[in-house]
Amino acid sequence: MKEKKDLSEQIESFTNKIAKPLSKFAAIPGVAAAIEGISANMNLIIIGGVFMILYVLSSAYATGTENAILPFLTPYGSNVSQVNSFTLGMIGLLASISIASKYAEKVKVDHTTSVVLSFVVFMILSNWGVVDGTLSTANFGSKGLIVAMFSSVLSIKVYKWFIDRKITIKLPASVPPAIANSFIALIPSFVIITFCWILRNLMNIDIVSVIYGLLGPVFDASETVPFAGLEGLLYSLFWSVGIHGGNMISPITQAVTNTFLSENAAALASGVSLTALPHWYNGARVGVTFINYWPLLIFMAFSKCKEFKVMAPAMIIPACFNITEPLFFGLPLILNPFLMIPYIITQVMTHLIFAVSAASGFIATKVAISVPWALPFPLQQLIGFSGDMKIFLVDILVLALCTLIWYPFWKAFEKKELEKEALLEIQ
Amino acid sequence: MKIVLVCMAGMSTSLLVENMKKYAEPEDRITAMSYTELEHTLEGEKVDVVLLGPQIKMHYDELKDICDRRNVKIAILAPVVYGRMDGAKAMEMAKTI
Repeated sequence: MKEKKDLSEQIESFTNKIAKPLSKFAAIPGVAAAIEGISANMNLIIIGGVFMILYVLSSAYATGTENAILPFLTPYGSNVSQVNSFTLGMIGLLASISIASKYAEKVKVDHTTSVVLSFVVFMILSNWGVVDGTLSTANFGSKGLIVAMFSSVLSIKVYKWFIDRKITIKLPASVPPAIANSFIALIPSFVIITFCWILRNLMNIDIVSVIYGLLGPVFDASETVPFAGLEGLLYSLFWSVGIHGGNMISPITQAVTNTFLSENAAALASGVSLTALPHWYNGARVGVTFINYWPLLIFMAFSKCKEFKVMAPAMIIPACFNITEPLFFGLPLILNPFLMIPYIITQVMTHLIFAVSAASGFIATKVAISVPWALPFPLQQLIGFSGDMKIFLVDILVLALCTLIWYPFWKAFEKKELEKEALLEIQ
Repeated sequence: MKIVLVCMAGMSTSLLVENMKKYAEPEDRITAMSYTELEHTLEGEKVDVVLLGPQIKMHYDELKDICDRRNVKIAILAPVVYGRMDGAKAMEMAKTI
């Protein structure tokens, strides 16, 4: 018992060591703005996903079946690319607006002028301009996402630098604020835009390619089974001590998964079938963190220990919608020397099994839509994998293995609680 | 009293909010939201107490700064109070920060 306690204390101090710098990093205004800006566009990504679902239902080719799932939709299938182009196909461009918006709020500069400036900067960096009446959208999507994270924050930082040092054109107080702000923005905007123009046209630096060239391979290198296991490890390490794991690792995972998602969506919209999309990593994550604690919940519901039986419904019902805080903080699972270890083990194992299933092609369907996290996980998987039910076989395997892993630890924990209960009853 | 509970998405704390309302005065207003919305909310309305879900206690320092600037009291909910959705204890905490 003392051994178990020491181990849980070690885990706690270890995660605190990582959590402190990670959360300091996430609190840097530019980083927070990037995260919040990308998250703010989630509604559009989901809507893009809904249209994608309609496309998949309409297209026999996409699902690789003989007939479309809903043939009456087939005539409309080709038009779904319109919504996709403007949502998933533009996550970079949209991010240049939303990140700028969040950052302008944080550093308290004039919102309108700074957001529009960020948009213009992004366009200059990612485009040659209107050529023969057409505008290239190549960099509006995931390629531009990484650039948008930097350009939105940097352009506003420079903007603020000028304003703080009052290197601006000040109009008399009688001029309406909208016009006055526009003139205040004039000098900083001119400097920023000229710099970007020089970068692009005189120095011939295609910053999108440069940054994507540097960070792109890092993103692609993360599409591996070991990385999935690492994600599971970090996620569960944090949760095991009561820190929101998703919140801690999202700065890293969100950029990667959003990029993969939009590339998959672009491919799907351009006619690639669901089984031939470029990225499998997102598929390995659908429901991956919402499954491994279910054996624990079931054990609680059937436990001899009265307290667990009583608590079980209050934890199972929210857990059906993936709200796990009642279980984690209420049992508690967190900082519980008996339950931390099996939780971490089952989480890593689930991540690995899901990743292997996706990477090996057992689940051939790739995921191109963002599924709302609050749906019960089987439903998420049904939607995410466009009806490919092989994932349920994987679920059954995972649940069986998790049950085996939880059992001995659960029994030890239950025994201790039953002893406590018996003592209380004697008194 | 105007009480705001914050967590990741405002979902788990909204469960606690419902339980707290059972122990609150009729004029108390209790809401739940994501921690990212807090600053914006505090700019728009007068809030008395902010209670933080323990799973995001890493954000306590930055949220405390935001609250201190506006004379709003803030505290981290105790894990078991939060996990068991103990509305009575949470109300007590809000009153005694």
